[in-house]
Amino acid sequence: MEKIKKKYRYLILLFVILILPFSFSQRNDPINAKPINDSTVGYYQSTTCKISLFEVLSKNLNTDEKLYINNNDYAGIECFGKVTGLDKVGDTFFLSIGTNTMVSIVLQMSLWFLLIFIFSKKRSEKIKISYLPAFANALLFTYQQISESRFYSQSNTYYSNTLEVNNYYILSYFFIFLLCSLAIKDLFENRYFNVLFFIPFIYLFPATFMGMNLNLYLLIFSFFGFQSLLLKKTNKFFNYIYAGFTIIWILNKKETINFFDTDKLRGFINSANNMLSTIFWVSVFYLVVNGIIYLLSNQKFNNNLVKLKDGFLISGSMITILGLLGSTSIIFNFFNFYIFGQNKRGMKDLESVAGNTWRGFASSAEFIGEFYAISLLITIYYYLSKSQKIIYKDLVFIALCLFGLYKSNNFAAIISLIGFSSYLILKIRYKVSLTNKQILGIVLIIIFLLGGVLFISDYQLLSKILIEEALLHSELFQFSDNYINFLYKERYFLEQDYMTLLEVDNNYTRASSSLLLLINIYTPKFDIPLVPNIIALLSAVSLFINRTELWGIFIAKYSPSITDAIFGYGPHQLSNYLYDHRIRLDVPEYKLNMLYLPHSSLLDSVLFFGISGVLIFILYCSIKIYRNNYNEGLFFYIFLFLILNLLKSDSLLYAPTFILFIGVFYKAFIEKINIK
Amino acid sequence: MENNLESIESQCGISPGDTSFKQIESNPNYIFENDPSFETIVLYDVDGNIVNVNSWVECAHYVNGGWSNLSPSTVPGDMIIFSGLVMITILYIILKKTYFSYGKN
Repeated sequence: MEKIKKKYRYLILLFVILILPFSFSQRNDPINAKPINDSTVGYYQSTTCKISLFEVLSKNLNTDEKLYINNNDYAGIECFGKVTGLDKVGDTFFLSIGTNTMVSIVLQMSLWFLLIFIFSKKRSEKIKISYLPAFANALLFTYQQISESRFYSQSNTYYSNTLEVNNYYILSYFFIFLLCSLAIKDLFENRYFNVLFFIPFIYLFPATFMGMNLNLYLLIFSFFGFQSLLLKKTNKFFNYIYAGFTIIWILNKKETINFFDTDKLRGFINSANNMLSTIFWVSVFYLVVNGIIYLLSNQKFNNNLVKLKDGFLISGSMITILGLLGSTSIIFNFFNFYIFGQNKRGMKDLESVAGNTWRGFASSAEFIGEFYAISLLITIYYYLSKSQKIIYKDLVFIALCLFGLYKSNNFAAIISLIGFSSYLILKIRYKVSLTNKQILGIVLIIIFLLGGVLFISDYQLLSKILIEEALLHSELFQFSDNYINFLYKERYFLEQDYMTLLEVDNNYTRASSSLLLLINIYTPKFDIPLVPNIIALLSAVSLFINRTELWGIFIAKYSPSITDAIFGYGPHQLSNYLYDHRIRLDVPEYKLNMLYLPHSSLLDSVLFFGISGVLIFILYCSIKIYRNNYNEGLFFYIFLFLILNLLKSDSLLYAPTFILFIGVFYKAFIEKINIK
Repeated sequence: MENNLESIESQCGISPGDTSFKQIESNPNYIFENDPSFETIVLYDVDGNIVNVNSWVECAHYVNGGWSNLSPSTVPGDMIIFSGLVMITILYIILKKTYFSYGKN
């Protein structure tokens, strides 16, 4: 009985958080909602902040008009949940609803903490955590309001970054983050939740606060990052390396007034390019990594595969169902964004491209394809290791995840899943165990086969296509007509005389440093028979995996100094890459203002940590594998799966994949090694 | 503007009758004539700006543009939120002992 009463209390609380804020309006005024059509646009425009969302929906439930609900973060608190405007664009009415960021963050935080509370268990023995991390966390994230002033000034009408006692905006955010950190402290002291089983639900709940460049997981993991610092439970090797890199990032920082509106990366990327914001994100990255490792090291997995499997399957299935609902219903579309803390609004319909990306829940098709594939991989691993029949409910979840994987159109994830599944079947079911020599042999055969494919294909064409793509998007010749630019470049393409192309018209001054380097490497000083040029090989591979255009644009844009190339710009710093070097995209007009990310997490890592940072990581993992000093098992296979797919996707830029990656890396390489 | 008559009349009073808005809409420099029989009404926009209107036509014009006779809150929104947060924090500290009590599952 007590449990039922508790459940009703939670349901009421959930209702209060979700529904009430969008139902408030003054009942005693004569201003009521009307059916939305051409004649009532003016009415809604002149009665702003007076009609609630639910009033409007109640009058327009069966409307034939195309309607879309926008959120207006900039509006004041008196407009929260109410209509702030109505416009007609084409044949669609855009209804703007006020969602002031300060009110939104309180409501969303309450909702998510309530859910964590409901789905966690009471500890049998309370643990004690200091108050210090809570205050430090609150100060750190309040600091972000000042360091990324341009982002926040555009998203909140009350914004003020002056450091005064009566700056209620800053004080309010300090209290919000303090409240959040105290809730994290109290929750963790009294309730138990295993972060590993929590990870699949991070994909369902991106938990990015409305109108803010921040998500809940940064707050949670930073808190535990502070806790790990306090208890001196951080890794010294990582600390020294990171400290060295931080000094270089700060000394090498070139501030610009560039502003990145964060787009689909909102919540996990630096929007500014100044010293203050760099310090913030450098600190947050360090704390988040340490926080994740601290939590994992203090929690036992106990080989509870069934819980992990169920978490991924349930999360994947809910993303599929809710994504579909969001595409077909404007109400679900709006509330998915609010309840789950999506980075971007979900697609409005189920047309072919829209159905692929689950945008809203996922910022890219590759990202969600990888998630579905991992969910299925874990399920396959579970059933193989337990040798039991698939239960009916799992069949339903598997079908939903398969549908999601199919619609994501992520061919690489599908192929990797088939490959890893085949390996697991051989290893677990048929007890086939490969020696290192046999694995090497298989790899050599694959390389030989690929070489054969290249030999049959027009290798001459394949080998130069990446360089030419990069040259195409570089601002070389200065004609206003892009087509004339292309014709001039084409002459040199036909002769493969890239060096002369760079000399003509001083084009080399406008080419990126990475393009100059690549052309230098591509143009051989001497020829070794049968040994392919590395750039030529990369070019051929890029075409097979459909990355030629995107990597070509990356090469055209990426123009680092030597220090930037070796040490990177710092974690979450994309502004330098996006805006430092001027290029001229040779794409259709509608694609000109799109966000062109590197489309490879390896390249993203090079941007953030430089070649040295990436090499240190690769060396660390390689040494561990070479010395057999790792935990071979499910997490190692997920790690390899991610590595393979992240070579051609930007998924590490998104918090869920980043957190999963750190988690599996810890489980595979850092956790106390099982004796073999 | 004719479509918005209900809202306009609720704030400006009943329309005098044969009022035409076409002249106002077509002339950006239109000067409103004061109506001595019209009691001055104070209208506010969402930013708290104030305008005193001296004729029904002028009042209708401003109301149609989003102005209202309801004065926006004189207390800034961020101060309201701050006060609310202080209260929530106090409530949280008081209530947490009830919900985060030490004990068995």
